[in-house]
Amino acid sequence: MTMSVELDQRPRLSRASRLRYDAPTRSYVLLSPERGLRLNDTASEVLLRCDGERTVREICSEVVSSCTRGVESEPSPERVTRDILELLVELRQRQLLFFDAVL
Amino acid sequence: MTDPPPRLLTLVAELTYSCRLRCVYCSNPTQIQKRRAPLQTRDWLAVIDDAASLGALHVHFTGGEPLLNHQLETLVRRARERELYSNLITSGVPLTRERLVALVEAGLDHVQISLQAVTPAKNLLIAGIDTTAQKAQVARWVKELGLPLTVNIVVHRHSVDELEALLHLAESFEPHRIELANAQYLGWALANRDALLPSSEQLARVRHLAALARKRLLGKTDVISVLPDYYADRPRGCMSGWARQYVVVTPDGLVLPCHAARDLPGLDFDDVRTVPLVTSWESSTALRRYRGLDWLPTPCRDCAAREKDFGGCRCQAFALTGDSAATDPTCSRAPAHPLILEARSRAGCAESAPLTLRRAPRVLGSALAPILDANLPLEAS
Repeated sequence: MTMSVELDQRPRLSRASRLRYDAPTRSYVLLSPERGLRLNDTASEVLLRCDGERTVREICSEVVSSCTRGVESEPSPERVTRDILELLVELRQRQLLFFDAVL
Repeated sequence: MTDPPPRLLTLVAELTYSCRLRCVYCSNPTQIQKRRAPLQTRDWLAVIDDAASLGALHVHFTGGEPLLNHQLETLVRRARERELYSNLITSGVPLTRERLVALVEAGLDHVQISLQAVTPAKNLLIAGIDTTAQKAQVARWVKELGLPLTVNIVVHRHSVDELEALLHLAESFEPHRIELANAQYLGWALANRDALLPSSEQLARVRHLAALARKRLLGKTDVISVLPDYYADRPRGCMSGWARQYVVVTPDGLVLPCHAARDLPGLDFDDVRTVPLVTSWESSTALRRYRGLDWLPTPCRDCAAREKDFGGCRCQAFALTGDSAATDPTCSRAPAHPLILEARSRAGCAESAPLTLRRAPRVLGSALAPILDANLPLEAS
């Protein structure tokens, strides 16, 4: 059994999670009870936008345009979008993200 | 020159050894070498500052019962100022809604409450007091105030038959996590081990109930359950390695790699009032003693799992073999593993060994060997 996310939903950080910058690793970390996830650049861009206002669709499109610059070796927009959706599902299952209903 | 120390990730602040509950598996020491003055608020504030400077991301306020520290709000506020994720590990006794509100306003991130039992008789057997109603009240307040809650249920021989009811009670609080925790057989739990170690049949039932709960609560509550080291044939990666990610500061200021290490012989732990934590983390000879992999005994030295379990738990090695540098006996490759097999075989027997409720640590160094006052105030003021 797995959970899914809908493109029209508006994710926001749950009260259990806190996003902060971590100077020693120069990255963002997502803290939750007894856990910490170090985020890569894409995941940071995603979570910084999980504000309960942007939809999943908007987050994907903003992050895709921020991390694709037309270089040949970079992942395709489809690939980035798929990774983002996987990340959101994973964090939803861990109750680190809430998904507000469509407004 | 020595290597730079690993990055500290978590500070465990044991604010007091006092507690109204007398749980038979308490991780606090059963005895201590000598009475030392408790840390004061200014000392704890320096500890929090130093932990943050060392890179810590989490702080656990625990004890004993951390709520007995009347300056807890001040400590939580400082943790928030230093961007630490703060966790209150509490029995919920004594707590009022007003105080919980004050703690939330100070920046508390998370509350962990443990359940001992459901029935009054079993609560008295395990904790010497029945606090279930108060815990349920506290859990409701935590939810009302929007804070994430972890409910901890300790798995042992006397809790398995109530486990279904315990899970239902825990679920009724709608927590963020339910943790089916194993008693760690050190401190009081070791003194009571023969009465607490569950049988393998009981553990099969625990796994079954945990799997059902996990399915039932998917997307609502994380259900965490791991096989106890006494049955795993592999040691726990205790504290993720000696002085590698965690540091414990005791109520009387000692800097330890874990809750139980103050009992180990031949180790001179720093006092944060003499050596600041920020220095101690790097230079303490006791913290460096079993840090990393260079000290490992055989068979750990050549073992593929050495970077996962670091040879297991030093306190368990000492408690069971008398040698702190031995391979943790829970490992099937450890020379002392037969001790574990023997404990397991006794756990299968029907008759029950007696249980001893925890007391405040006995002080060995004093002529009168007095018991620490259970209501010893933390602030000398």
